[in-house]
This record gives sequence, structure tokens and C-alpha cells, in this order.
Amino acid sequence: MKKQAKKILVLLMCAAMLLVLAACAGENAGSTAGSSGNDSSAANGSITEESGGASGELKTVTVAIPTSYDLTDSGEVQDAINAITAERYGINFEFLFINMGNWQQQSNLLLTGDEVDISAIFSTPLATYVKNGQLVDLTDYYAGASDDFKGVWTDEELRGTSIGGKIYAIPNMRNFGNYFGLNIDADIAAEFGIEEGQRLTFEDIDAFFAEAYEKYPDRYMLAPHGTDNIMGEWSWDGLGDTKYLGVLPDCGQTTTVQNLFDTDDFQDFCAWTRKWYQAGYIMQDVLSNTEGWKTMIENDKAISSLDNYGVNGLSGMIRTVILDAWSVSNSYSALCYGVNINSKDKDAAWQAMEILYTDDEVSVLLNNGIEDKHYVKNDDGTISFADGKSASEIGYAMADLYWVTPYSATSYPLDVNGPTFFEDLLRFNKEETLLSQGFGFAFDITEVTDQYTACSNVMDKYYKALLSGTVDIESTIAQANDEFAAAGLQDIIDAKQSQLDDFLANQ
Amino acid sequence: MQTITTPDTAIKRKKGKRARLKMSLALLSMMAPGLIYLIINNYIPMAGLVVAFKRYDYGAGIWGSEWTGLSNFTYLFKTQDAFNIMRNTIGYNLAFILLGNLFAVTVAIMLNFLKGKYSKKLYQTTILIPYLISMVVVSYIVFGFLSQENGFLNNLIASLGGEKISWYTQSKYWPVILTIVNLWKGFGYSSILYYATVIGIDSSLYEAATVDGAGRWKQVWHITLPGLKATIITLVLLAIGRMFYSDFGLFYQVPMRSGLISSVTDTIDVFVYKGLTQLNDVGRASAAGFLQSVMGFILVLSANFAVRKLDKDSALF
Amino acid sequence: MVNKKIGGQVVLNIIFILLTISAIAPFLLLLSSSLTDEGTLVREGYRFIPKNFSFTSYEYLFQSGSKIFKGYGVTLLVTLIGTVSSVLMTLLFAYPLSRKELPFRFGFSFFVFFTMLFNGGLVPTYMMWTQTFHIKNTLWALIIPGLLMNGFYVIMMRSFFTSSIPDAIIEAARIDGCGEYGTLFKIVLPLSKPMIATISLMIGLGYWNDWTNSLYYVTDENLYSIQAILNTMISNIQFLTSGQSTVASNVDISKLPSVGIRMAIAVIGVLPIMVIYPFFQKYFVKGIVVGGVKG
Repeated sequence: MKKQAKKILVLLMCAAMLLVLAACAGENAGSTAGSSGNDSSAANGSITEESGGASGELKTVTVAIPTSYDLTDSGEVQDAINAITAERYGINFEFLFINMGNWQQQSNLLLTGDEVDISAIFSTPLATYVKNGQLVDLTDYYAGASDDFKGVWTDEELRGTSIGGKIYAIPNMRNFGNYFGLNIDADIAAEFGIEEGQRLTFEDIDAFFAEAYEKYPDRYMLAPHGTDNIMGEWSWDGLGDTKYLGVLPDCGQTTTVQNLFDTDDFQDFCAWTRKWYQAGYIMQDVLSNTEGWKTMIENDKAISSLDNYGVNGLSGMIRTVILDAWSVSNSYSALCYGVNINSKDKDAAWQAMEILYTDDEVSVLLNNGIEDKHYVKNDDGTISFADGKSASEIGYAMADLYWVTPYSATSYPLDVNGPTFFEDLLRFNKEETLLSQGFGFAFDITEVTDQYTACSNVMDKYYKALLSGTVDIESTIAQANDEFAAAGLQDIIDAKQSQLDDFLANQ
Repeated sequence: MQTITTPDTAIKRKKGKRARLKMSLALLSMMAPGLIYLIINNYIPMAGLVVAFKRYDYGAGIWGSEWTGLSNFTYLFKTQDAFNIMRNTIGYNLAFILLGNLFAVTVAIMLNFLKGKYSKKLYQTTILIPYLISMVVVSYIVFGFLSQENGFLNNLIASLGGEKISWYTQSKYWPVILTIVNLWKGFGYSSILYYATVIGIDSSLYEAATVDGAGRWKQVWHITLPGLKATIITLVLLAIGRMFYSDFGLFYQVPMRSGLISSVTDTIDVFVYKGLTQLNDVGRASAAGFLQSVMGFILVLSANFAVRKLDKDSALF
Repeated sequence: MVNKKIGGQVVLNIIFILLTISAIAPFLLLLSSSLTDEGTLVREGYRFIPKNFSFTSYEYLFQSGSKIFKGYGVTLLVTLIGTVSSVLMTLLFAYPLSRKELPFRFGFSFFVFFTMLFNGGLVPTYMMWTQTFHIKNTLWALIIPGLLMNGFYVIMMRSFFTSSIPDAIIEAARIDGCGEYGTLFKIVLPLSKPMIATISLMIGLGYWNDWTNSLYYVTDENLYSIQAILNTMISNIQFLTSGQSTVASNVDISKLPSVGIRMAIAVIGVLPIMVIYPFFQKYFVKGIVVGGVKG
């Protein structure tokens, strides 16, 4: 019996090792880029090239980027990039693509040591990162940067990623503001005479739903945008706080901080969703739903969904506008790139940062992948995924995540977004978006942390339930406000107000 | 084999001090790998618990960060939910310990009495399945049962003429629901340990009892249960030490993060997680863990002390 | 008398059949949703019998081919090496603890027990393993931290040794000239088969189900276990729909693995255990041979 057990054990171990080896053989063994000597020509207005004097050593900079796809070919892309940067700048890149779901946990652990040099700031506010001492003050680095680099963002925009007057991160390329509107299934929209880009009010939508419901009673009129929440946010600016404990309502066009539940914006919105919930336009299980809105509409389970969007395209549906494009105070700092305080070589990290924003070749590789393997160019200047594959099948799908990488504007847009996508995006950001009056403000939670955690819990209880119309508005808000009062919401609001006043005074 | 003389005299006569030393060294050497591992994995990092009393700065590291006294602990008490989360954590754990062990012991004993080799194996395998399913997937399954529109329970209720219940918004059902889910998920696994102990009980004892005319129930009461006593006490004591911890997946995922029922589904761990996601506050998170450990420790020491008084051998140490 | 016995067996069987149904039914639900096509799942929800049979979820999984196979390979390797090492370490630690002759016995027991209650926390542990020992992104990161020796199993084994291995047998071995190691491996071990099988199973399950070590210590996709893959997928989707990051609402969730696929991964994570477990059960053999000593 023992012999048999031993045999089986050995067999299993061999099987396991074979499996791992076989699978690994299919992988490309990413070898490090050919290290060439590091002499560079004199720098003149371009990126300071590493003329490491006598050393000629290759410096490795690790960059952590969030992603939502399996990037199986990231090693290849990294090699291609290093083939360029090693020779041109003496920098070797190592890209750490981390899944967004794991981002918070993994990036925090990475930042305790020197494993990463440049990291995205994502999922937690920039202010938190700075408060925890995780980032390097980049003000001096920026002052000494190349002209190319300084030309990417205006000083005004950099205020969006500064805390206390010091630059802690560099913004990345995406839409900083959002339109808020209703996405409607294209066929249904055509049936009921609603056009792309049309402006709608809630009353219009109500009438539309009533008509559509008569014809399609087995479908939901409104699918939840956030699977378990009708919509994540609307016309209130949380001032950098995703729990909305104290907001600037009215698209940020005021400077008085208020309790979200007391604002008209919120109460009006909830009144509508309450009406729709009770009429059956919204699914009864909305709070426990796990399906995405797009899937639901494509499968004829729903006909429309609220959405926030910039200039990106959408297939099979039309977009309408309810709120004109506006941006919240922390729009720039919600996703940006900074340098780890524990980085081994901060100078090299800064240099790498400049490369990521100014080198076109690197940008195309990082944002699109390798030509013909991951994408093919179309005649109109856009690209499509190679071999007709979709984003989840292709080995490198960062083209679909143009809004995550540091600077994608110098790469090629995807077919679904159109050839002028990046130009539109830049114009959208600089000209078309209404800025909240609290732009650039970051709330410092330190004095009120205890109240903050207590109020966070209260907000978690009621926010989604109220927004989705699942409970009676008045009584629930009254109940919530009682709990808020006990938890110290007023302290938070007062603190926010005084900090905001100081911030605005120092402009 | 030689005839055996009484062990004590044998040792004293034949071995002596040097042999005893050799024996001790051998035993100690056996423990060496484990000791090294525990020191590296558990004890050295324990020094990091000081971060519970500091404002952790990533640049300064654990030792360079500044002290803040007890301020990292206040957030656990300044909320009016403090009572709720305490009550929930302790309440659920008590219910789980009681019901869970009762159920597992019963199943183990029943398995033992079952005749039929193949049916025993089959049942043992199938009841382990719930343990293998991850809690998030379990939450999807529970949703399949409790969904308001299409859930099995609601369909059943509707077909019997009743009104559908919105399970995820009513607090009153959840203590029962969560207890059932926890029992369902764990009983197959917990019964393994008890079963292994039960089958170790000397069968000659049962034979003797049958000869004496004792029925099934009497046998269980007088033979099986005492045989399990040590195991049960050990497991219960260990569980008491974890009284202030909870299964995060169970309390965070299964209620589908519905806010309306959180007053009965939030435990300390869930509260800490939800409160700190935006803050990334290592000090505060560590403070919560520290408190949970200390309170659990005090509790288990007291329980162990009580057990020691009653039955010295059964105590943990 | 005979009737009673049969009657008892029937009752027992019925109870177990009910328990089995309650345990399997949800699994069948899982299985059937993994075999249904996406559209039907969205429209109709979960059912016990798939309405529209479809293998698309499994096709998707095995088409990203190397990932799942690699995951299996990693999981198998880690579980095997981990379980064997861990059981060995636990044995070596628990046996001396059960001997009254061990000096500082109480101290060592407490030493182990204390680790079950107090924990330095994630950050210090992480720093220890990555900065001092550099195990990040290696296979060891999946085997060593936290799982290699657990106080719980040490205590269980110690209790077992003290209550089930009579001193007489140990003394006999010593008198025969067996050293401590010899006693442990030649005499005690064969007598402890049920306990060792049990502990191996539990430790093995611990390794099989673990995904937190992957989360903390591994960023290299090649080292992801099956559970880590499943968990990453699910956390991705939960994060993106939680509203925690307003920017992340840009992600098109419909491109991420659907419910059917997540169910399929859950199924393939469970199946191997179900296959191996009966193999373990043969070690739950009745009776320790207490009759090694006469009189």
C-alpha cells in the first residue's frame, strides 16, 4: 500500500511539472533587451539623454500599470520597447500590469519597498497617497524637465495633480469630464424617434419609458449602470471623496459644501428612479444584480442605461445627453502617475516618466502593441485588433484601455472610436468641459478620520438603495440623516468647507 | 520482542541521565525546523504590531513612523455601529461554534454507524463539496435562491400562493440565512476531523457494551462521546480564541453588499474593510487586528483556565 | 432485533441522502450555469437543468489554453510539495510536544498556540518575505508564507499522539534501542494513519484553495494557481462595478469574463478534489492497533 501511494505521488508530481513546463514552452521567454552601450548625443531640448559618463550602465525602471485584460504578450511588447529605449536613453523598462481588482492590495504592498519606481495612482485618492508618504515631490523634477514634456500639460492642468502646491503626479490621457446621458438600444431609439446626441430631460425620459413599456413589458426600461447601482454619480462633486460625504451640487457650480442627501440634485434624481422602480421599469433585484448593462441591452433584457462618457464611441446603441460635460474637482487626480518614495533611483524614474509621455515610438508600442501581431492599420488612420480577434482574445489589448496608460494621444485610436478620436479628446478636455469650482482641491481627512469611517458605513447603507429608487425617499433620507448626525457628518462638512475656503483663497 | 519490565524502572535502571539528555536533544532537534519557521513567519513580523500605535509613513517605514498613541483605535468605537458589529461578530461566532460542532459531531457519528463501504465513501465525498466552492461563487448560488424575481424560494412561495419576499432588503432573515450558509459550507469539512477520531475508538469497547445489553443510544452516550471529548474541547477552545474574527467572504460577499441589511450582516472585519478602503490606513487596520487578537486571547485563556479546573488533561496547555 | 437494525440503516441512509442533495444541489446549479450560453443566463437566470446547452464557457477557458493548464500545473505542484513538507514539519513538531520528557514542554506549547492568535499583520509579514528572503514571484511564495506550518494542526496532532499512542509502545521502542527519530517514523507513524490522512487532507485543501498568497506575493501570471485566476477575475469585476473608482466606469464589463465563465472556473477548481478524495478515504481505516502490547 505504501509503495503504491509513493508511486502515485511521484506520478502526480511528474504530471504537474510536465504541465507547467509544457505551458511555459508555449510562452515566449522574454529575454532582456539587447543591452547596448549607453553613449548618447548631446541633449538639446529633447529628453536629457543619459550620458552616464563612464558608467554606460543600463538602468531598469519598473512601472506599475493597472489593466483589466490578460496581457499575455506583454513580455514581447516590453522587449520591443526596451530595444528602443536601451539604446536611446539607457533605460530598461519593466512593466508590471496589475489587474484592477487586485490593484489596491498589490500596489500598496509594492510601495512599501523598492520593487516599483513609477506607479499609477488609482482607486484611492491622490491625497491619500501623499498623506501616507508614498510619493516623491516632483516639483523640482518638473521644473527641470524638457520642453517637450512641459508642453504636454498646462500649468493649470498640473494643479489638478498637485497637493499643497507641490506636484506629486503627472496626469494621464483620458477624458477628464463627462457627459451624463442615457444610452438607448439603437433599434428601439429609432422606433421611438430618438436621435444620437439628442438632449433629454427626465420628463422626456419618463414619457419615453411609459411608451416603450407598453410595447415591451418583458424588458427593463432602465438597466443599472454599475450592476448593483443605477448610477454611480450624477451632478454632485464629491471634492475628491468617493463616499460623497459633503458635496458641491449643481455640477460643482457653487462653493458651499452640503450634505448630499439634502441637495435638490440628489432628491430629484431619486424621486425619478423611485417612480420608475415602482412602475417596474427598473429590475426589482437591482441591488443584487451582477450583470453589466451592455450585456443586458445586447441580450434584449433591457433597453437603456444611464452612462457617463467623453468622446468614445459605442456600437449598437445611441447616446443622448442629460447633463452637459462637466468635471469634478479630482478629475485629474483620479488616475495619474507618480514616483515611488522608496524607488532606488529617482532620477532614472523621472527620466523614464518623460520617455513615457514624449517618445512617440514607445507610445505606439505601449498603447497599441506590435504591428500586425496585435493590430492592423486601417485606411482612415484607426487600428483594429489583428486577425479579427476581440479585446479579450488578443494578446495585448491596451489599445482598448487608452485611458489608463500615461499618454496615449500619440498612438493610434481604435476603429470604434474613429480617426479623430484623440484630437476630439484633447479638445473636449481643454475647451468643452465645464470645470467644477473646486478644481484641484484635495480633502485632507486626517482631522476627521473617525467620523469619516463611521459616516462611510452609513453612506454605504443608503446611497445605492436611494439612488436606485428601491426605498421610500423621504423616510429613508430622514433615517439616514439621523444616523449621519450621530456619526459626525457635520464635522466632516465643516472641515471640508474650511479647507475649500482656504484653498480658493490661496488661488 | 523481549518481555517488558515496567517502563519506569527500566528507564531508571538502564538509561540514566546521559541517555535522557540524548533523548531531549533528539526531541529538540526535531522541533528545530518548526521553531525556525514560526520565528520567521510569525514572531519577527509580530514586532510590526507596533504600527498599530503609529501613523505609518511609507517612506519612513515601520520604525521611522511617528507614534500616535491610541488614536488608531478610536474609530472602532466612535461609531454607533460599534455595538452592532460587536454583537454580530460574537453572536454569529457563538451560534457557529455551537451549531457547527453539534452538526459535525452528529454527522461523524452517523457516518460511523452506517454500513456499506461504498455509500460511506460516496456520502463523505459529496458532503465535502460545499467547502470547496469559494464564497463568492456561493454568493451567486444564494442569489439564485433568494433573488426577488426569479429566485427558487420566491418562485416556490408564489406557486403556493404567497407574496414574494425581498430577501436582500429585510434584515430579519439574515441571521438565519448566514448561519445556514455557514453550516452548509462547513459541516462536511468539520466532520472529517471528528470522523477520524470516532473510528479510532476501540471497537472492543462497543463489543463489550453490546454484550452487556447496551442499546445504540447508550453506546453513543457512554463510549463515543467521551472518546470525542478531547477533540471537541480542543476545537471549541481554539474557536473561542478566534471569537472576534469572522469569515470575511461570508459576511461581505453573501449579502451581495446590500447596505440595507448591514446592521445584521456587518462584523468587525467587514466594518474595518469598508471604512478603510479610501484611507489605506495601515495603522488603523493593524489596530483592529491587534484588538481582535488581544480580546480573543484573554477569552481563550479564561476558557482554558476553566477547562483546566474541570478536567486537567483536556485543556489546551 | 434484525428489523431494528435494518430500520436504523434505512433511516441513516435517508438522512444522508438528504444531506447529499443539499450539498450537491448548489453544485449542480453551478455546473448547469457553466453549461448554458450567455444570453440565456442573462435573460433567465440560474436553472438546474440548462435550457440551452452550450460549451462556450469551457471553450473560452481552454482556448486561453495555456493559462488554465498552467494554473492547474501550479496548483498541483504547490499542493503536492506544500502538503508533504507541511505534514512533515507538523509531525516533527507535534511528536516531541506530546512527550512528557520534553524540556520546556509547556513553553513550546504556548509558543505554538500564541501564533494562532497573534499576527503581525500583512505589511510586516510581506516585508519579511520579500525584502529579507526575496521569495516574491517564486514558487516558494505560494508554499511558505502562512501555510507551511499551522499551529492548529500541530495542536491537533499533539492531542492525537497523547491520547491515542500509549506510552507503553514508546517505551518498548526505546528499550529496543530506537532513537527518537526511529520511534517516530517506524513505530508511531504507522499507527497514526487516520490522523495523518486527515491532517494531510486538511492541509492539502488549504493549499489547494489558497489564493491570498498569490495576491500578495505574485505578479507574474505564470505562477497563478486556479483559485488565483478565478479570484482575480471576480475581484476585477467587483471592483469595476463597485463605483469605487469613477474613472474605472470606462471599462466595458461586457468584454470581461461572464458569469458562465466564472462558474466554469469554479467547477474545474472543485473537480480534482472530488476525484482525489476517495483515494484518501481508504486511509481512514478502522482501529489503531492498540494490541501491540500484551497485558
